[in-house]
Amino acid sequence: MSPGTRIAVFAVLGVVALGAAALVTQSGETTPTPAAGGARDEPSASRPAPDPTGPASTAGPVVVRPVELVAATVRIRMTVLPSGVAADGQMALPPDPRTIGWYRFGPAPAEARGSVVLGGHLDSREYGVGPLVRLSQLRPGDELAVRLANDRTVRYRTVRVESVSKQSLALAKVFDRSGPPMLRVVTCGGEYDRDRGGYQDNLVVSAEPIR
Amino acid sequence: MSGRRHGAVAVALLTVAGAAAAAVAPAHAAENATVSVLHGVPGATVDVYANGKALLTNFKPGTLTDPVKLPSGSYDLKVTAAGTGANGAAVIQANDVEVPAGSNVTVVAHLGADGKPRLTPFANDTSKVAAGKARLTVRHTAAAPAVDVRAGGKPVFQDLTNPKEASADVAAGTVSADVVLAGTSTVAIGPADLNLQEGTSTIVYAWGSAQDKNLKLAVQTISGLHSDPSGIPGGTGGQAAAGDAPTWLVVLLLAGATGALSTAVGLTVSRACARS
Repeated sequence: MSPGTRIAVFAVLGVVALGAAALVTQSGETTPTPAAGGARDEPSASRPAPDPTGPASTAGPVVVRPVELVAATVRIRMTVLPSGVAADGQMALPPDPRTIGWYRFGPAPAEARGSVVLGGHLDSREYGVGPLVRLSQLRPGDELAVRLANDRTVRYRTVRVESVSKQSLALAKVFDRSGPPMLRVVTCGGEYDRDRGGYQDNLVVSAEPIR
Repeated sequence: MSGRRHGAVAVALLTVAGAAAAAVAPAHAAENATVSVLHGVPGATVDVYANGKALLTNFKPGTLTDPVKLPSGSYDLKVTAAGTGANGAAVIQANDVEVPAGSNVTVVAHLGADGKPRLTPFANDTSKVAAGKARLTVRHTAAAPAVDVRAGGKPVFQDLTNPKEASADVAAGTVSADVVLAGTSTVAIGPADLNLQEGTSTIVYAWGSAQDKNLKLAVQTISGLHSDPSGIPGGTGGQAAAGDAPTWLVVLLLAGATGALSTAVGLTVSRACARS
């Protein structure tokens, strides 16, 4: 199930329109098709008005959120919390570095496409240093496990551990919603320069699902 | 991928629309446009003709088609009672409707403020929305006076008249929306919960007739308009960078084991942690 579909399904779930809404979902991402002259757009659905007396019958697959990250080889076990966007436009992270945030607007681990992004603070003035300080010790091949709210666990294998300057972080890759399924665990690294906004680098661990 | 979700009616409509697309292409078409059609005239099942060819047949009130790729250009649109043929009497007619290349348009057959059927093409804004945001657009296509649209009881759009629209990018999430007569708290439609999905445009149409007491909402969503966050912070303390030796880190990490040591370490790194 693609993020687009999930979004569509959620839109459908959310719009429990008063007795009488016609409901349609469309995608702004179009795919050229070989059909000559006119081609139907990508994922979409049209529906007549739902039965006003019936329950919301448009329920689709529900997103199962991640609840715990385990990287046994580097002794990391962290609670995962849903996170969104901070006022400055950056990904919002839980203030306590003993927990890690999941970018809830992007893919969830069980989804077929895109990057699951987990981001956490390395340390904090208030709480001190967190487990992500050991993230840089991960090596390609090391296993990561993400436990979901339904107690299922999705396992990943580390493919890259890279430190990149924050300015050159490939955001479109990290937050990709349509490419192959990946897990990206992101924290900070490099020099801490408080006159230049703290840590200068992002440490990005990329891992692919173990099938 | 989502084909399973299509209702039989929708599939039938699309098949007709797809087949008709080539046939109704204007002479000098270049690039495609994305076109959806909403039937917002209560009580009448219709056929829709574009440049004399059937675009939609047996089109029922309250139905919004899937988006169809049509060559850009100028279209003469005619809506007739279902089954009356290309030469049937026009319920609504609109000539020289421009569909620009690359545009995303929803053509709405609806009642004007005066209660007479008309066609209004709306251009859909498919520009990206900021990370964490959703776009909400409301279109007044009902035979009804000016309205305010409220979310959580507070006016979001005010004094909206037929056939105008209002739009804003708002925080993603569910809002309880209703439509009231402008400047009053007299609810005309709703409340309805709208789940404004991040990176998605939700377009709400108010249609029908206040006089006939059949005002309704139709909802169209356009997904895939998301943006990425501008970055990922990652540390606010600086403690982890306060020493370079791995052994030092080990000491620091073990610090959690004893409160006293923890305090001591906290003191030693306190200067490094201070934020400007």
